[in-house]
Amino acid sequence: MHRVSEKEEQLILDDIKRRGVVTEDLQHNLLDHVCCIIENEMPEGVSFLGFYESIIPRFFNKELKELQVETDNLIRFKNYYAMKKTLYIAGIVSSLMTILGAIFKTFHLQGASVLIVLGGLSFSFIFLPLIIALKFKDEESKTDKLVFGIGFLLAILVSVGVMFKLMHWPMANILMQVGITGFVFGYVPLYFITRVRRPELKFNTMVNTVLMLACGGFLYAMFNLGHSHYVRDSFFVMHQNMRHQVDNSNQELEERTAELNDSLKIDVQNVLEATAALKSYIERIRVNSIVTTQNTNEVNAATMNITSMSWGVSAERLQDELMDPEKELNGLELKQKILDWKKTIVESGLSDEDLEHWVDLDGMTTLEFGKQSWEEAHFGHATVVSVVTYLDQLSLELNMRTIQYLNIKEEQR
Amino acid sequence: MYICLMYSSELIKGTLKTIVLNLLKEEGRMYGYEITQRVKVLTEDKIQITEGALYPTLHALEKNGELETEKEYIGKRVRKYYRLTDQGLETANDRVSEFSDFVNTMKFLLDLEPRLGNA
Repeated sequence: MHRVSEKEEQLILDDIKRRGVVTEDLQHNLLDHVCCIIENEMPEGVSFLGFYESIIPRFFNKELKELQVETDNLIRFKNYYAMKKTLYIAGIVSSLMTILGAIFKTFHLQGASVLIVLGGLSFSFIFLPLIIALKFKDEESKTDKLVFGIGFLLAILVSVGVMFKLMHWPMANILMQVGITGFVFGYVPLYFITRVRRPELKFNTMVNTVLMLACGGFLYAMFNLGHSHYVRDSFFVMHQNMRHQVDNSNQELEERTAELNDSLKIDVQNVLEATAALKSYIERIRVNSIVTTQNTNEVNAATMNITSMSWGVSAERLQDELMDPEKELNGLELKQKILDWKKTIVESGLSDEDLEHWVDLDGMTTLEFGKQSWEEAHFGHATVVSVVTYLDQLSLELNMRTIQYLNIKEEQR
Repeated sequence: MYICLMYSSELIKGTLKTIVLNLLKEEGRMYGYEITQRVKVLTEDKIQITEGALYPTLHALEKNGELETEKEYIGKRVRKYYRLTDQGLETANDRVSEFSDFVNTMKFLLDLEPRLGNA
C-alpha cells in the first residue's frame, strides 16, 4: 500500500485548487477521497503522479470545477421549492386582498385601506422579487436575465406607485411616472430588440410588445387622473365670489345695524349678539379645520386662501374631529348653536313660519352615502375645502337672514 | 453523474439522497470514500456512486441541516465524517418509505409480480 506523503498531499491540494474548487470544505473532502483511493487502490509499481492523473477524471465529466458549480447550485437553490410555494401563496393572497380592498373601497366599508396596503406590499415585496429570483435561476441567457430583472424592478416601482396613489400618499405620481416611463421607453424596446431576432421567439415577442405598449400607454394616459384644472379653477373662482359676498354682507349688516333707531336697536340686541356669537364659532371651526389639515398656525389659517390649500389632505382626521362630540369645535355643537340662534329670533317676535327655510338643518340623501343627518352630510365625509366652503356659505346666510330679520322687525313697527 | 455498471442513470436519478441518508442511518458516521465503497460492496458493484455526485449532495444535505459533521485529522489531512441529525433521520425514514411505496407501485404497474390467473 502506498502511503501518501505530506508533499504529495500538498501537490494534490494545489491541483484541486488550480482546477477551480474554491470551497475549503470541498477541497479537503476531495483531498481525503483522492488519498483514500491512492492508498487503497493503487497497484504496486505504478507512479504516484500517473495514478493520480488516471483517477481524477472519476470526479467529473469535463472538468473538476463542475463539482464546485454543482455544490453551489444545490446549496443556493435548496429553497427552490419553498420559494415556488411562497410565490404561489403570495400571488393568491395579494390578488385576493387587492380585489377585496377595491370592493371594500367602492362600498366605503371599513378595512379597505388595510387590505389594499397588505395586498400591494405582498405583491411588490414578496411576489415580484421571488419571480425575479426564480427567473434568474431558470433563464439561461445573461441578456434575458438582465432584461427580465429590469422589467420586474420597474413593475415593483409601478405597483408601489399605484398603491401610494390609491392611499393618497405623497410621491405616488413620481413613482408611477418613473416606473411607467422606464417601462414604456426602456424595458419594452429592450425586450423587443433582444428577442425579435430569435426565430422561435419572434411571434410571441411581437404580440407581447404590442400588448405591453398598449397597457403602458393606457397607464401613461391615466396616471394623472386628478381633478381637471378647469374644474379646480372654476371652483376657486366660485369660492372667491362667495368670500367676496360674505365680506359684502358683513358690511351691509354693519351699515344696516347702524341705521336702526334706538328703540329698535334695543329690541334686536339679543339677536344681533346671537348672530355675532354664532359667526365667531363658525370662524373658529373654519380656522381649526385649516390648522388641522394644512400644517399651518392659526394666524396664517385665518387668512389662508383656498387656492393655496391641499385638497383631501388629512381628510379622515378632520372628519373624526368634526364628528367628535367631545371636541370643543364640532358639527353637533354647531347644529345646537344654530338651533339656539333660531330660538333667540323666535323669542324676539318672529313666528316659526317666518323662519321656515332659514339655515336648513335637514339631513340629505346622496347616492354615495345614502341617508345622512345634517352634520354627517357636511362634516362626516368632508375635506378641508368642502368644510371651508360650507362654513363660508353658512356665514353668508347668517348675515343675509339677520338683515332680513331686521327688515321684518322694522315692518312690524 | 452516476457510474452505474448495471442500471441506466435515468433509473437511479433522484435516489442518491435516499441512499446516502439510509446508509448513514445504518452505519452511524461515515466519510465520503467510505460511502462510495460501502455502496459498491452492498450492491455487489451494481451501483457505484461517483465522487462528482456525492460531494455536492453531502454539502447540500449538511447545509440543509440533515447532516452534521466532525473532523478528524489523518496526519495533516482533514477527514470529514458525516452523521444524521434528528431532522436527517426523519427525512431518511420518509425517503425510504416513499421509495418503497414507489417500488411497490412500479411492480404493480409493470406487472412484475406474477398474479394468480396470470400464468
